[in-house]
Amino acid sequence: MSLRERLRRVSELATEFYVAPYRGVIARAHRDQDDLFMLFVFSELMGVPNPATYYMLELQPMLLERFHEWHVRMGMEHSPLDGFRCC
Amino acid sequence: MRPPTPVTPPPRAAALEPLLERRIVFVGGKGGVGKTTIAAALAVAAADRGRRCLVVSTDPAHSLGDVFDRAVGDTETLLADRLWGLEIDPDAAAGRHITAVKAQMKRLVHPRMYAEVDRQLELARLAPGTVEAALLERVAELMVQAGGRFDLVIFDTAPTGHTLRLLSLPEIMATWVEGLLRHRERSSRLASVLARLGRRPADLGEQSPSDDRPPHEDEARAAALTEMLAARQRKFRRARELLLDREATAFVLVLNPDKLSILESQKTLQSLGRVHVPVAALVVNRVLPEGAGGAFLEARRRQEGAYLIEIEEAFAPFPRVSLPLWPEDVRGLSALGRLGRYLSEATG
Amino acid sequence: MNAIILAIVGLGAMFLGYRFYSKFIAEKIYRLDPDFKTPAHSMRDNIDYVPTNRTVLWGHHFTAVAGAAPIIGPGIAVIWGWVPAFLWVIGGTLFFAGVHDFGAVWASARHKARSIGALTGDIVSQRARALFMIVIFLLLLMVNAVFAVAISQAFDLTPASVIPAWAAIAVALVIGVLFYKAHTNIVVPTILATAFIFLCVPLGDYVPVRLPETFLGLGAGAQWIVLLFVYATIASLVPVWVLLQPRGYISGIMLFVGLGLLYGAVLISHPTVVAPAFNQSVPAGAPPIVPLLFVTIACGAISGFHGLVGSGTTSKQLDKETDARFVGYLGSTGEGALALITIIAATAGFASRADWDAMYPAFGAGGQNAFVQGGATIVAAGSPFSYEFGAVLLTVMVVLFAGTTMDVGVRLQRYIIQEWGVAYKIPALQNSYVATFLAVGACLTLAFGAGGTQGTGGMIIWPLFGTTNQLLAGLTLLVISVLLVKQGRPSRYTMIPMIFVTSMSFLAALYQLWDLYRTGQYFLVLMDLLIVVTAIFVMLEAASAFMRERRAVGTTRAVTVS
Repeated sequence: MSLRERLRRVSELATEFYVAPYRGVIARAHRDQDDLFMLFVFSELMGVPNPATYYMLELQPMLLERFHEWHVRMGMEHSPLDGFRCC
Repeated sequence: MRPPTPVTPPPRAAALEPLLERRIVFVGGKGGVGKTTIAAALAVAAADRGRRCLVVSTDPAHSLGDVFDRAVGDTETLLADRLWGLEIDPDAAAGRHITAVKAQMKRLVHPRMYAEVDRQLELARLAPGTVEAALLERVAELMVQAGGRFDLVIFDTAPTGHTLRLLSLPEIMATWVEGLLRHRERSSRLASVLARLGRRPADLGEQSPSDDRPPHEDEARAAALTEMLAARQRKFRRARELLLDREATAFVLVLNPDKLSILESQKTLQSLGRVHVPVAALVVNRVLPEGAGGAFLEARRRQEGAYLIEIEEAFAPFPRVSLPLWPEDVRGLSALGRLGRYLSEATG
Repeated sequence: MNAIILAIVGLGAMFLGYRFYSKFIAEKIYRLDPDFKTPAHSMRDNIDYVPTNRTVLWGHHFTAVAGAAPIIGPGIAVIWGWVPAFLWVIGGTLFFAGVHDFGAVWASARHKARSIGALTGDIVSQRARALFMIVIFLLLLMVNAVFAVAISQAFDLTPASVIPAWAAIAVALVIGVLFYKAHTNIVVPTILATAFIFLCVPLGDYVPVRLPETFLGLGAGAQWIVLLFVYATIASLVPVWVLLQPRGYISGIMLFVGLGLLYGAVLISHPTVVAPAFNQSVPAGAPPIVPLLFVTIACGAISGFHGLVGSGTTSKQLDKETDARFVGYLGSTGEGALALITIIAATAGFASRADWDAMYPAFGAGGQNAFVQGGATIVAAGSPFSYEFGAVLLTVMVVLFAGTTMDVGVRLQRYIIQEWGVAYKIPALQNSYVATFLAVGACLTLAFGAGGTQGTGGMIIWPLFGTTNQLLAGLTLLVISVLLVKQGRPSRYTMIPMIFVTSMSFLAALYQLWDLYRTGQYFLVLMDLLIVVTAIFVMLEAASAFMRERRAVGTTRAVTVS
């Protein structure tokens, strides 16, 4: 490895040292925001009255994958909804 | 005992003619007071004046077809020159909506889950509020179209409570959707920060499944979600604006000269005031015509006179038009035309 | 005795410890497998679970665990002379903290990166898990009080540090907002910000800030404590990236800069240790060295808090299982190096024995102030910077470390209270403002209530804080040991440290019970009583877990033989 390559490697790692936690924090905030949104869209299914369920219906397909990721992340192997088993 | 009032109190000069210049007219009132007939007559009068007019029934128990004496369905039906009729079928609208969602959902899930999707969405069809929401959706769409394809859209609304709910919904919906949009906004802001941070150096472990998915696909999906919501919000907000715009929209309240109808109309006026919907005029329908013979009718007319005075007092601030009880049903185009002329030109 | 010898012997021992002892532990005890699929890969989501280069991960782990505690603890403990503190820091780092931190990362990585708390429930028992939660809550409660007091004392001693310290926070805020709103690169602003803080150091010297001697009946120290909690309240309510994250970078830079500067200055100025090797004339009322030394220096020798970081964050980012040795063991070595330089600063940074004695008039004195004053003297002697510059810089370093911990502490406590609100169906507690005020209120009560109106309670409860921290370490070592027993591997390398720290904390808690009762600190007596009871339960739990596992292993053997 040449000196130039080594220096580049060091600067790459230093940048990563700074950026990585920030990336994690922002990514987590982003995920939480989207999770909340998803829960709003699926809220009626969880027994929470939602004034706009009918209008939310068309958003559900686009959030299906997200819903699956969410409940797996929450430690539920299968969907928590009786009528809505996505896996 | 008060001396009987022999004559109908003269209606104010304000005939309903100016209403025909608006873009949207709602005709409301208690069930059975003659809303459909009046809405239809106004529509015929507007069409006669050269305005392209659509008359829409939102009452689940439709009677528009009966009044025009021909079938009117869930699609716009040409009834006369420049005159169309429509009986909204909210069940069908909800069904169409749900079918579309189903199809979209099935594109995203494994075939073994098709049955689940069907079951889930069938439940949604039966959920409380679904029919109402579908109805509101159609009404909002038609309101936005008023002034475009049609010069005037007249809504023959369902019994009052239902109508009030319908009129207040755009506001609730707009607020709710706004809240959701704020979430989307925050989310997309975070996503853009994330994008700026760049990907991790390539040497750190193999790529994960989520790395394989091109980032623009997620973005496209997020944008589509936001756009769907934004479109809804635009529609509801526009409907709400139109509803409150005195220049564009008029609400006509129909009542009969009897106790229950008067009480109900008072309540309605209060409620409309609460949602800030202005009332343009009152139509006092089925007033016993003068000179209708017989002691029985004479007695009734005396009774009615007291109610008419009560109406005079209770609804003083609102322009009013009186309509007599006709000897025969108002049915068919020509009868409606006569009634329409009477309404729009009535000066006394 | 020359301080260079201390530095070389200490760092050399740590190097040998990493080179040989940790290798032995990695190969023979934890049996790391380079082919094991770590949670960072098997559960990768690019948010929590991300395979990370081991050097970068070590940097994160080290900056997350190294705070003000390895400065305050040794700063107090050298009162018994430098030899006991030195031996405990080096021995503790090599044979206690190293296996503990390393083990926590390893155990967690082997169990889907679950936290030590969760593992306690899975591996030991649900009762042990409940104990674990109690200890964490006590720890959070005390850490905020302790660090608020430490910062207030630092401001009081070095008024010149007030402006640069708050400037650092303001700069972090600006970076946070700027970076979030504007399209800028993050590295350049961070470097500029750090340079700006250095420029603020002479400014602070020019405009020292002293609070009025009394205000509303509060002394200057108490006023600082109130201000700090007001700040912590606000800071813990804003999103993480606004303040906490950018400030983390600045703290990280300060840590490396401070360590480099101090070790460099020691090398150049080779100061002489003026403190006695064993202090024969400790001030009256000072507690016995055994067991108190072992709880006064927790962070820097062994600290349960590291297990939380190791099992909560680090284990989720481990690229290869074999990296656990580098990250975990070297992470605690880094903290040991910080504790070591504190010992050097607090024993060799004074002109004479008399100056040193003046720093330590009573037990609990010294602490971060001895580090700042002694360190500044060494910096002035061994670098181009002046004493004042050194003092301000080191104070800013301590304040930033302690402040970061306070932010996180208040935030975590708020989450705990909010979760209670949900669990016990009390809607008011679920509100983040109510929960924050409760958390801050509890810490303020502790900071004030324990130390009278002067608000110096934090230093009185320092050994109590260390005791709790060691109990947590004992619990973590218990989990690791039970795990080893279950797998039929030698468990003495974690079991002996576990027995040692647990019994030392128990004895220390008992001693303090008597001492606090004697001095009429009834509020702290109650708290200590809670710790004593918890410690008893931890010991019972450990005994029963080992007997259970021994029997289980014995049965398996018997079956195999027959």
